[in-house]
Amino acid sequence: MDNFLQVLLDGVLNGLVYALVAAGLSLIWGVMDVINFAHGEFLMVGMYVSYWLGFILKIDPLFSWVAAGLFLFILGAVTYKIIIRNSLGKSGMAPLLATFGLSMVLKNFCMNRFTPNFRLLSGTILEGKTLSFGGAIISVPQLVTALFALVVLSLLYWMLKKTRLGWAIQATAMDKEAAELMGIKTENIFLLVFGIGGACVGITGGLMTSYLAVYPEVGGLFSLIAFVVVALGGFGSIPGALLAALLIGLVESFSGFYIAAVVKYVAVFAVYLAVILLRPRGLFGW
Amino acid sequence: MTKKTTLSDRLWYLFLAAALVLPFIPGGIGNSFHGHVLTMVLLYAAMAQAWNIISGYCGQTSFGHAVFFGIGAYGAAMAVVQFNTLPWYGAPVGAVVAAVTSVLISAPCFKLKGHYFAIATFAIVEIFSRLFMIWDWVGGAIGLDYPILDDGWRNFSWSSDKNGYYLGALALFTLIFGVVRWIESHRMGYYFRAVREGQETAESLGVHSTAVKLSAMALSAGLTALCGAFFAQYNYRVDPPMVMSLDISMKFLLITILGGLGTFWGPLLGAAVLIPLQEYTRAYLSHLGSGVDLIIFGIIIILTMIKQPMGIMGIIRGVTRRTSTVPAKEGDA
Amino acid sequence: MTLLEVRNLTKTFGALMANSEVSFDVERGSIVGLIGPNGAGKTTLFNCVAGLYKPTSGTVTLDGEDITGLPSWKIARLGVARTFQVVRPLKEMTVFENILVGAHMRHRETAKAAEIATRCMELCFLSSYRDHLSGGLTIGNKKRLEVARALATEPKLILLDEAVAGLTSTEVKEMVEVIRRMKDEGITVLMVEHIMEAIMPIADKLVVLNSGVKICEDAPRAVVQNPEVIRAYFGEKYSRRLRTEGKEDDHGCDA
Repeated sequence: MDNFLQVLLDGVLNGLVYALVAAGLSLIWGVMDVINFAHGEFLMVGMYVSYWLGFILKIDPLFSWVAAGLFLFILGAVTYKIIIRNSLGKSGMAPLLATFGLSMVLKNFCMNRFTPNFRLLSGTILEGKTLSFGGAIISVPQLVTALFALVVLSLLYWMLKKTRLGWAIQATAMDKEAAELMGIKTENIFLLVFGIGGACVGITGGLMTSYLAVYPEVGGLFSLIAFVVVALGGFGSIPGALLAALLIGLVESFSGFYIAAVVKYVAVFAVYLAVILLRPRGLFGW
Repeated sequence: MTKKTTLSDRLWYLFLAAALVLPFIPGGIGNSFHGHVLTMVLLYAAMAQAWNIISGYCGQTSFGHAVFFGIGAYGAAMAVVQFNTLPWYGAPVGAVVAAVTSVLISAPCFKLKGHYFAIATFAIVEIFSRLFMIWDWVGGAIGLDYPILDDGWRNFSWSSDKNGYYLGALALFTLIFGVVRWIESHRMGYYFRAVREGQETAESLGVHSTAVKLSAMALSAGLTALCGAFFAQYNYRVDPPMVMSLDISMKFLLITILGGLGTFWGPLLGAAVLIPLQEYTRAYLSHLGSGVDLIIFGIIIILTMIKQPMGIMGIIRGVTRRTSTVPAKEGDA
Repeated sequence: MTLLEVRNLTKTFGALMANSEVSFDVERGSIVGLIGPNGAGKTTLFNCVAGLYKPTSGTVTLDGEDITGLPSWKIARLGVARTFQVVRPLKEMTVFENILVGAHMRHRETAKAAEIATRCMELCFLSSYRDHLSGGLTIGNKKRLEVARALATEPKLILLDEAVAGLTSTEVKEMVEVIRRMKDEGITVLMVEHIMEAIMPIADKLVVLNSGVKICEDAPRAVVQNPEVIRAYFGEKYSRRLRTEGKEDDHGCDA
C-alpha cells in the first residue's frame, strides 16, 4: 500500500512536469499545425542556462528559471522568424524537418562546447530536501517544479480563455484568413506563440536543474513524450495536455514499478499507440 | 508505346559502368578512406531509395524505417554470431521478417493522418529499440559483436582490401535503384503515385489503395532490411542505438528530401552530397571537437527547407524548366 | 434492357435525410440525366452508387449483380466509372499519366494501357496537353481529364457529376460532344447536371429529385411539362413561358 501511494505520487509529479513541457508544443501545433522537433532541445538549452547561472553566478534554479524562460522565449521567437516563417506552407514536412535540423545543431553545439558529460548542480537551496506524506517520500525540488508547472499551466489557460490576446490566438488557430480580416496580425501571433512555447520549456528546464542532471541528449526523451502527450490530449488543448500528461506519468511510474523499470517507456508508447488507434484524434481532440 | 532511351536511362547506365570499373583501377577503392566514403554513399543512396518507395512515390512519410533497417542488421548478425552460419541466410530472413513486421504495423497506422501518423511511427521505433535493449537473445544493450572471420564473399567480410564491400554496396544499390526504375514505368508505379496524389480518386479508378500502400511498405521495408544486413557486416557489430534509433530513421528522410522526394535520382544526389560532407568533416574537422559534422548537417537541412524543399532535384528542374521551350504548366483559368 | 437498377435507396447523415426511397433504372446504352434543385441529394445518390458512401438501406444492382455498399475500387472494377463534381486531378502527374492510371485497371501491361489511354485522351480533346502536369490545367481541361480518366477504365456505366458546371459555352459544347462520342462507343451514361442546355438535347431520360425524393422519371420533353417538376425545379413563371414558346424548340432553358 505504501508503495502504491509512492508510485502514484511519482507518476503525478512527473506527469505535471510533462504537461508543462507539452503545453508549449501543443500550443504551437494547435495554432500553426507545426511540430517543433527541436522542442526537447529547447528544454535542454533551458537546463543549460539555469545550470551555468547556478554554476558560475551561484544563482539558484528557484530564481534562474526566470532567465531560462526569457532566454527560451527569445530563442523561440528567433526560431520562428528565421526558420518557421520561411519554411511554413512550402510542403507539409518542411517545418518539421527544418526544426529537426535545428535540434541537431543545438544538441551538437552543446555536445561540442559542454562535452557529453552529465552535469548536476550541487548546493542548491532545495537539494536533498524531502517531505514524508502518508509513508511516501516526496522530493521537494520535484514537488516545487510540479507545482510551478500547475501554476504556469493555469496562467496559460487563463490567458487563452479570458484575455484579448488569448482570443486572438484562438481565432488565428481556427481560421488564419478570417482572423486577419478581423484585424489580427497573425504574423505577430505566430511569433508570440512560438515565444510562449519556448518560454514554457525554458521555465520547466530552468527548474528541473535542481534535481536532474543536464547533458546534451537530455531533451530527446522529453520531446518524444511531449509529442505523445500532445497527440493524446488533442492539439491546442491545455486541459487535454494536462490530463494526457498525467496519464503518461502514471503509466510510466506504475509500469516501471510493477513490471520492470526498463519497460516503462515501452509501456508509455504502447499505451499511446493503443489509444491513438482507437481514437485517431486523441482522447480529447475534436 | 515504343521504348525510347531517355537521358535518364543513359545517365543510369553510364553511372553503373563508371561505378563498376572503379574498384579495378589501382587506388580506386582498396582500403582507402575515399573508398569507404564511396561505399557509404552507395549504401545510403540505396537506403534512401528504399524509403523513397513508400514515402516519396506512395506519399506515406515513414519515420519508422529504423525498425526495418535494424531487423535486417540483426538478421545478418544473428546468423553469424548466434547461429554460426553465413550472413547470406540471415539477410533474406531479416528482409522477410521486416516486410511482415511492416505490414502488421502499418495496417492500423495507415488510418492515421498527417502528424498523427508521423508520431505513431516515432513511437514504434522507440518501442522496438527499447525491446531490443532488454532482449538477451539478441545481445540486449551490449549488442552483438562479430567473431574473427575469413575474408571473402562467403562470409561477406573483408578486413584489408575492401573492394568486396564496395562491390556489395554497388550490387545493393543496383538492385534497389533497378527495382524502383522498373516500378516507375509499370502499373505499380502509377498506382503508387495515384494513391499519393489522391486516395479517393485512385479508388474511383479501381485502385485498392490499402493493398497498394501495404505492398509499397512491405517492399520498402524488405529492401531496407537488406541495407541493414550490409551495415552489420560492414561494421562487424550491431546494437540498438546504432541500427534502430530515431536518428537512423531521420537519415532516410534527410538524404531523400535533400536530394528530392519522390524522384529517381534524389536519393543518390542527397547521399552524394551529405555522406561525403559528413565523413570528411568528421575526419578533417575533428580538431574542432565532436559534433561539428552534425552541426553542418543540421544547418544544411535548415537551409534546404527554407530555400528549396524540393531539394537538389527541385533546383535542377528549376534550371531546366527555365531553359526548355515547352512550358511545363498551363496557367489556371 | 436495364444496366443499373436502384431500388428504395435511402441515405441519412444523422438526422438529415439526403435520399429517401429512391428507385430508378438506367437502360443499357442510354444517357440518363439526374436533375433537381440544389440540395436535392443528387451527389449523395451518386456517391452511394459509386461506393463512396454506404447506403443506409436499399439496393444498387449492376447487370443483375448486387453492388450495394461495395468499396469504390470494387465497383470501379465491376464497370462503374465516375467523375468528381469538384475536379480531382492527380496533380503531380501529367495528363497522360492520369489517364494511364485508369487504363491500367483492365490492363496490367503498360504498353496496352498506354494504347487505351491515348485513345481516351484523343476522345476528350486532350492530346495537346499530354505531358502537362494536370494540376496546372484550366478548369475545362480538368473536367475533360476527369472524363478521360474514367473512360480509360473501359466502364459499362459512367457517372458524370456536374461535368459541365462552371465551363464556358465553348467548353460546354466540347463536353457535350465528348458525351455523344461515349454513347456512340456503347457506354451508358448517368449524369448529374445543373445546366439544362447541356442535358436536354442528349438525355434519353431524366430522373428528377427534390429534397431527396424522386418526383419524376420520364423523357426530357415530358419532364419539363410535369407540373410537379415545374413547381419544384423550374418555378411557375418560367414554366409558363416554356409552354407558350412552343414544343418544337430544341432546348429547354438555362437553369
